Amino acid sequence: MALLRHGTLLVGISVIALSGCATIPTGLSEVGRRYEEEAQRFERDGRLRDSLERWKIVSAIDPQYPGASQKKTEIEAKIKEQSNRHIVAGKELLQRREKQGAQREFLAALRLDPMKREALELLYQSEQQLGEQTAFARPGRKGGAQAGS
Amino acid sequence: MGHRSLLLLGLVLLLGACAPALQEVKGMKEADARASEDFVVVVAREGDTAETLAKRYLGKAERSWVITDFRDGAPIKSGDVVVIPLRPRRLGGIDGDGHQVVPVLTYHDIEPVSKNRFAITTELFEQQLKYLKENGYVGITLDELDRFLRYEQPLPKKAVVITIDDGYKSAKTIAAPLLKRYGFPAIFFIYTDFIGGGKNALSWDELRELKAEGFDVQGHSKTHSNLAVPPANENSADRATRLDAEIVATKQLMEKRIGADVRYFAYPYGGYDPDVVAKVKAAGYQVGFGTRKGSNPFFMDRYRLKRYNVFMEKDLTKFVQMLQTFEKD
Repeated sequence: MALLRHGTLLVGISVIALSGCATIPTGLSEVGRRYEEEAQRFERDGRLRDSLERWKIVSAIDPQYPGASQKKTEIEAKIKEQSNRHIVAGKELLQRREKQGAQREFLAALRLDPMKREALELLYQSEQQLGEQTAFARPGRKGGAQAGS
Repeated sequence: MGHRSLLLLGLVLLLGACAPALQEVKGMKEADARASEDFVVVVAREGDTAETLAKRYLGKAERSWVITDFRDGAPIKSGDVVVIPLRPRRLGGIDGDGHQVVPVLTYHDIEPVSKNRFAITTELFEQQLKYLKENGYVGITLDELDRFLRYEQPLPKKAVVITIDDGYKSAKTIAAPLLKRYGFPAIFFIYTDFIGGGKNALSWDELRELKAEGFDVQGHSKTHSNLAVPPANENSADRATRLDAEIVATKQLMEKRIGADVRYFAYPYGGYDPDVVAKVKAAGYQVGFGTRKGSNPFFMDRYRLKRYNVFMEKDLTKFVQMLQTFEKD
């Protein structure tokens, strides 16, 4: 009798606990699906950072969402590979003193991986090495018709 | 194992399985919100705005732009699902197919009636501030710009910096009240020989008052001579002495008179060369502003920033052209 009483209690608690943790409110679960679709579309369009971000939102809504964790891992690997490729291309352009092209590549690497330290340092370096070093204003007098400031 | 132990074990297992799915979100019922390390996803309640949500989840109502930018400016209605990024994202403003650039606007004198192109009218100044406000531009401080340039802090998408050069009295009597009315911070770059020098110039007391009102006061040299154009026959020792007086001594004097750090320098006439830049760096300034036209990406050389001069002849159409905040790669 006691066992039955405890068993019933256990089942009761289980139901309550599971209903509390498994239910994602309808509105939020719809949003989760919307972000999943966006994540897939961004991935198809090659916008891997945006895709990864959408998967993170899906995971925030439901950490157990099917496939989200695996997709995040896959996309992170692609991001690593592609951002490294941009850095190599940017370095070659920097050596040829092609500032804009090099910067475009370093920005592409940072777009994929905002924490890519090497791309960031090379981007700053490209501006300091190849940016204008000197600026002269047109001659004139203070308060008169000249370049100002 | 006794019945009580079994019961307890069952409970622990169930609650353990449940734990990662429902992280606590401060101030919200479980049914209304979900959170991870990166995002809070919340269902807006009656009366919620970007400001109230920013205050609740990001700690400051002033960070409402983080929410607004993520929603591309869409207003928040009760029942909307709002995604709130918890970590800095889009550092450097890298987004879509380009990156953010920040326009720095430069004014000089502001007068009811303009006497020359450096003095814009009160009416035009107010018209421009109104335009900025109504079109979603957000004024930022130089400290915020500094962190953006260091790739440490993202900025509102339509961030703009307002600077007012030289130290004209109108900065206090006309500009400051209008800036406050429209909610824009501003930086007054002053050259110290001008301060206290007549009825058109600010006094040190007035500069301290501006500082106390929340405005920033920064360096613009001692005499306002063009630092990149040496006087005839100046030898290298004379040049070093002159640059010391214009750059180093100015910083020291301003810090003493105003009682606050001076960390930013605007080159008079926008003139600089490698010697001038080296001196500005060595003096401890963090950023140097020239006057080459253009907006600034985060990777811009921080000692050669661009600014737009706003002259009297700039009507609203030309003014709007200066407000470039995004550049395609």
